[in-house]
Amino acid sequence: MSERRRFDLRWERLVASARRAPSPELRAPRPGWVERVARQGLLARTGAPRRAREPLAWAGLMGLGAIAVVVVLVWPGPVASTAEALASGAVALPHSVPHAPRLPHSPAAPRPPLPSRDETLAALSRLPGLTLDFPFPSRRTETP
Amino acid sequence: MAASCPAIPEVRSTVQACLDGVRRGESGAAEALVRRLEPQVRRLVRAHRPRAVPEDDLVQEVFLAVFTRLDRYEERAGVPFDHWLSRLTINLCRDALRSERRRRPLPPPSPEARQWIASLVADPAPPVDEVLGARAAVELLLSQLPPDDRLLLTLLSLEERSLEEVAALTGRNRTALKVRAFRARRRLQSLARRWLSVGGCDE
Repeated sequence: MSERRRFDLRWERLVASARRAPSPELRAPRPGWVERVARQGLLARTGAPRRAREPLAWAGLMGLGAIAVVVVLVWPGPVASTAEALASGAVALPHSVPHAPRLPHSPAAPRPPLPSRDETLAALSRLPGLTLDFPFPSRRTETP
Repeated sequence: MAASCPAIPEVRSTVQACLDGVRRGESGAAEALVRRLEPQVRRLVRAHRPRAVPEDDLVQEVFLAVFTRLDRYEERAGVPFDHWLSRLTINLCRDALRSERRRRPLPPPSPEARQWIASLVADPAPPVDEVLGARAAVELLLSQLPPDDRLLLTLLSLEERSLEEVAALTGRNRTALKVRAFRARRRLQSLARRWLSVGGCDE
C-alpha cells in the first residue's frame, strides 16, 4: 500500500473519531438579537441598491414618441414629403454609386526555357568536385 | 422554536410566506424568518468560520446578506431556499476565511491531539475513543490549510457531504473539487509530517 493511501485511510480514521466528538449545543440567541437582526435586515433592504427601473429613460422615450405623433398630426404634408424624399433617396442610392473600373489582367511572368535532359547530364559530368556516381543507384530510402 | 409570521399563522409558517412578508417589509415576517433560519445558519457558520471572527457577527452578516439579496433568489425547480441559504452562508464564510490575513497562533494541542497527528504519519496507534483529541487534531490541521482547502475538507470529511452536494454548495465543478481534495490531503500529509519533525505547527 502506498504512503498516500495509508495516509488517506488514517485521515479517515481520524475524522471518523472527530465526528463522534460532541459538538457544543446550539444555544438560543440572546434576547433581542432576533429583533435587532430582523430590523437591521429590513433597513438594509430599503437601503440596498435595487435594480434600477430607469423611470427617466422610459419617460423620455414616451415623450419622444408623443412629440413624433404630434408632429405628424400637425404637419402631415411636410412630414410625408420629407419621408418620401428620404425613401426615394434610399432606393436610388445603389444606382447612384458608380461601379469600380475593372482592373486589367496582369501579364504572365516570363519563364526561361529549361535545358534539355542531355545538356543537364553533360553539365553535371563536367563538374569537377562531384564524386557522386550519377545517375544515382537505386537505393532504398531510409526513413527514421 | 420556530415562530410563525404573525398575520395568518397557519399559512405563514412556511419560509416562503415569511419571504413574501419580508419583501413587503413586514417586521413580524422578518423576525420569524430570522428565528426559523438561525439554527441552520449558525451550524454552518460554526463549522466554517475563521477563528478570529466571532460567531454572532458572522451569523448577523449572513442574515443581512439574506435580506439584501432576497430579490435575487427565485425559487426554481430543484433550487430550494435552504440550498440557496447554505450556499450564501458558505460563500460568506469563505470570504471571511480569505480575508483573515493573519492567523492567530494556535493553543498548544493536548497530548491526545498530538498522538492523533503522530498516528497520521507514523505507526503509533491513535488514542482509542479519544474523540475530543481527534476533533482538536482535525481542527488544528485544517486551520493550517488555505481557506478553500479547509472548506472543502470540512464539507467532505467532517460533514460527510457528497461531491455533488459540495459542487452545488460551492458552485465548483465536481472534477475540479475531486482534484482539489486530493491536493488538500497531500498538503495535510506534508503538514502532519512537518508538524512531527518540528514538534508543532505554530508559526
